[in-house]
Amino acid sequence: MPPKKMLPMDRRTFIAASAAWLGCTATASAFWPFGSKTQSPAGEDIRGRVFRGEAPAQLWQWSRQAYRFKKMEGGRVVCEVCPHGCIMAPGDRSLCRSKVNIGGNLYTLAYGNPCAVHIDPIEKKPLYHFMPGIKAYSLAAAGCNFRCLNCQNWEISQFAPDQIEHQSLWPDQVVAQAQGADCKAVAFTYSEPVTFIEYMTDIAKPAKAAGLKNLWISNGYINPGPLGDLCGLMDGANVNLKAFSDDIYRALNGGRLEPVLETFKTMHARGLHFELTHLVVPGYTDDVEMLRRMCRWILETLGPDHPMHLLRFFPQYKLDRLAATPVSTLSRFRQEAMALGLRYVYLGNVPGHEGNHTYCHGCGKLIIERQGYLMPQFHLKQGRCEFCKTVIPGVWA
Amino acid sequence: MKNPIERKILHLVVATGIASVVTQLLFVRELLAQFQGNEWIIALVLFNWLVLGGAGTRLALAFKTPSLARLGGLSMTMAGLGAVQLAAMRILRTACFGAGVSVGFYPILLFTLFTMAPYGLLVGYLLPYSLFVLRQHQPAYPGTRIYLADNIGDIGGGALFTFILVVWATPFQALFLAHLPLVICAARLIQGRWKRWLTALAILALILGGWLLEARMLAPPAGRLAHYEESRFARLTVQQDQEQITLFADGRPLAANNDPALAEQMVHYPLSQIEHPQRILLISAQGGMAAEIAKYHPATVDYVELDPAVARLMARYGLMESLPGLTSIIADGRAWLRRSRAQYDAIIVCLPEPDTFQLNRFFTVQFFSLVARHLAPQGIFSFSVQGAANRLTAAQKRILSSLFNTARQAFAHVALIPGERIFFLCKQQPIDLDIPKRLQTMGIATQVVGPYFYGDVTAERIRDLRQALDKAAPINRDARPYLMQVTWAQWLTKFGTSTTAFMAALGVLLALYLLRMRREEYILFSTGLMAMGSEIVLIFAFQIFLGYVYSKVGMIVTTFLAGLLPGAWIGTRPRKPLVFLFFSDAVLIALLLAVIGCLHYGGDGLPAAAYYAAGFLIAMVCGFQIPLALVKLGDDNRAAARIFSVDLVGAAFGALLTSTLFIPHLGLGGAAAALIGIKIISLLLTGERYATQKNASHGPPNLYRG
Repeated sequence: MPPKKMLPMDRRTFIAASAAWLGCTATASAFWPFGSKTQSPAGEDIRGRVFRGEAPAQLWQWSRQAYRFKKMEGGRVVCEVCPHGCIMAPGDRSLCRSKVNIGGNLYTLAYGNPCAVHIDPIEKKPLYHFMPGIKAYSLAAAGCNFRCLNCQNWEISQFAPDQIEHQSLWPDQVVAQAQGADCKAVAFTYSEPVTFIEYMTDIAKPAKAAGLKNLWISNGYINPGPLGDLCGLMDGANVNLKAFSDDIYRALNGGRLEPVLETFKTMHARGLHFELTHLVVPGYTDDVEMLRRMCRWILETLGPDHPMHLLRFFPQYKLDRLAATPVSTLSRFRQEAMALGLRYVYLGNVPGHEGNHTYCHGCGKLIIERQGYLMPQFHLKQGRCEFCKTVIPGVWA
Repeated sequence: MKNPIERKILHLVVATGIASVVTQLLFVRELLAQFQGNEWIIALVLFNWLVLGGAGTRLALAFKTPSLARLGGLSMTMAGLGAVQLAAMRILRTACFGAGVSVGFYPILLFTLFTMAPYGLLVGYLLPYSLFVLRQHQPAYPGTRIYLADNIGDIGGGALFTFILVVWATPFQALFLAHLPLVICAARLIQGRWKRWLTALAILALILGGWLLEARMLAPPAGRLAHYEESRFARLTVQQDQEQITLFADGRPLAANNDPALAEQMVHYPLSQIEHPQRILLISAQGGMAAEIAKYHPATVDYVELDPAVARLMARYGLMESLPGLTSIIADGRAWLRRSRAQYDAIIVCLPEPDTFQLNRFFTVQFFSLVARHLAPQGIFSFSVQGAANRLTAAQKRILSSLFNTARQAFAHVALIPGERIFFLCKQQPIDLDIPKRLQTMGIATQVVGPYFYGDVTAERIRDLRQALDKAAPINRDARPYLMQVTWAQWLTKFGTSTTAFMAALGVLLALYLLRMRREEYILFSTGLMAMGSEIVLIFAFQIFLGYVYSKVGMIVTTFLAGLLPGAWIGTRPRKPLVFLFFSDAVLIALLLAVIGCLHYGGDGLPAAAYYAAGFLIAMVCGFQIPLALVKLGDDNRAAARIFSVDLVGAAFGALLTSTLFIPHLGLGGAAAALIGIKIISLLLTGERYATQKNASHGPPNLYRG
């Protein structure tokens, strides 16, 4: 039998078919149910969601009624702690995994059950202008209101409190243990302390009464109301300004920029000592123009005195197919920030760099030399530079 | 082969076989480079590919009017699709998931399925379609000949890829070379001289376009691509961002010139334990290590690197600086150590996580015992695995516990140093973990270990880590790789995923598929499953016992494909298909039993030729069954499509089950036993059918009646 008529798939049809296939696949990526674009200015975001019907059947001993929430119709509640404002029906669990609606009331599952407890140098937080050299009793409960692709503590932050091993440690025990370990401060850190705010505030009160300092290491994603309460209890904070772009916040971290900026304004207005941290991620937050905008905002809104830590990125968690940040990028960023007027700009995760040391903004001399957690030189007396007597911003004793 | 149409079609089938095998291997490598290079992902990609092939084969039945011209057009389309899809894999990966982001099981499953779909379906479609076209010209044309021609193409493609393309060509170059015969053969089926050659040129230009844009498609999100090459083991890229050089293997950072913390920890944690380390063995290395080692003034440093391209790039980009007494050795570290008689003061393993069979070999009791035999009495052995900044997951604790218990089998003292990488120090004498003090005593200055150690590695963190260890955790062994299970669990934990839904859905689909299957089809399904399962058992056993030498692993694949051909040819001879199906099933079981016995008793001592021979023989018996089944099921178009499809789907399940369930959970021997179990069911079904026929005939069995 001879071949039939000429093939229906000619060159033109083939090209059209290939283009159609590529087009379909590319379009399909917009509806891709897993993962997200991270560089899209359109702002695909990785913010979490309320976990419907995932609350445990009953409370456990590490539960307390949440301090800030509003009841709604039909047994629903809205959490008022962070800007996500999770609205939960009975049986639902919050985006941060720590709060649950049981019977029309909001409860925390993260009270007295830290999953990580360590004694760290305060420089590790990092806090460079707050009682250098002291030890901080550091603790975290599970959960986080962000979904950072590069989370250093995903083993804590991306789990629910009732999913992982923990110890039982009530607020008065925390204070006793911190004192027993010769710590001068209690640091709420590692995961996001906002998610265990009830536990944090109930520790901070007796800690303060016992003469310990309270330190809040946070992403700053909190509503002004609860933040106001915290400012009255905290002595120092390190808050992460992850990017100066709402798109990147949504795509890389699962949050929004504006509430974090509000947090900085509130802390500044309340006179709380705080330092800023900014992680420089290649391809995401290594845009020098963005850094300049960020620094200008800091100068205009917060002034030049709040120390800023520029951290070197290393591959972490889901963002593990990138190179580390080049040290020269960080050096350039530090110089840019200082040239714009910020007085204390440090580099983190870069051992041996001059950006680890503190230089007086008055005379420019080295006043604190840092070699890791050691301080071979310390030229500061009663908060003033030993050389020119300039007051160095911070909490020094 | 006198008929010109038959000749043209058979040439096309051979060319399709060559192109499809090369493309399959390229897609596997591409997706491993884009995602995760472990056996689960290999299995997932293979599974998707084979299922797509099986589905495509079934689709061939849906079109009633096969034509020579359409066959030519579809083959030409297939030739172009390879390049389009390879480009799509690279471009869409970043578009879907973002730059530098790893993703979990389900995104990988869907991405690999969708991006391979057009080519995979078309490959499956074209084999039976070619037969249907031939049968329009010669109605009684035997399906076996098409199967044989496909086998010849597959062998050619396997050999071409293994011995030439993997060594000399980039993916788009390989696509071009592998599809050239297909484009020529397909063009011969297209009518009209101009149309024919313009189409061919357009397709070749499309692939060449991919070749020209190849490096651009791999541009990093920051800095520039300083070097790109496909080594036998991985895709290697060097990214330069200002002063920083980072070497990537399959998209993951392997070494960098500016990570003093890691270099210092890798070197000073172990070397601080010895007074004057003179002989040091490095199995792989990190950037900056040589400078740290130089502080001890050792007499000799042997640096063993498996991939010559990695060693070359490490040297060229200053990641492994020159050092007095340094000798670079290109070899598998374990195989080299087994051959060597050298004794060392320190052996430092700088390898990634034990998440593949290849890497797992460096974390087993057999390897640790080998290391212990090559250490001086005061010698130290160190390795590291991923840790956590502040808290370990349950899976990480199981990994560490198993490693600790395994190391304790070979060393009297094992100490763990906590951190984002957890270091194991192993010695026959007590270990002193006050490392800064030891370094100070030895007069060795450091930038990280000395100043940061007491703040990061506190006594309380060391104690917590030690308390997290489970003394009852299983020992990690070569043939029973417990760590593979747990690293998989840890990987799933990281992405908050469970494979339960996937496995359950797969189980339901498999059950439905099996229920609709005829007995003879089950025989072929189990043969496809066993063939692929056995091939995977052999490849992994080869990796475990003889080391990861890609060209030799390629030899197993090629001998496997080569075994199918004589098997299929012999399979056209017997006149009693059911009897021979029954006996060939029994032979398959016996062969796999022999393989288990040889692996158990031979282990490291088995020569490579034994693996090739086993692969060839198993494949030969599997190939033998296809023509028998074609005869048994009638060899009409429908039967042929079903048989090709069932074989592919069986192979798909063989790849998935053996890699992800049988070997990690049951070990090599258990995996072989599971495959035998599946084949025994087939044997029973054949035996029962044989007995039924014998009774029905009341006389000598006529096995043609089915």
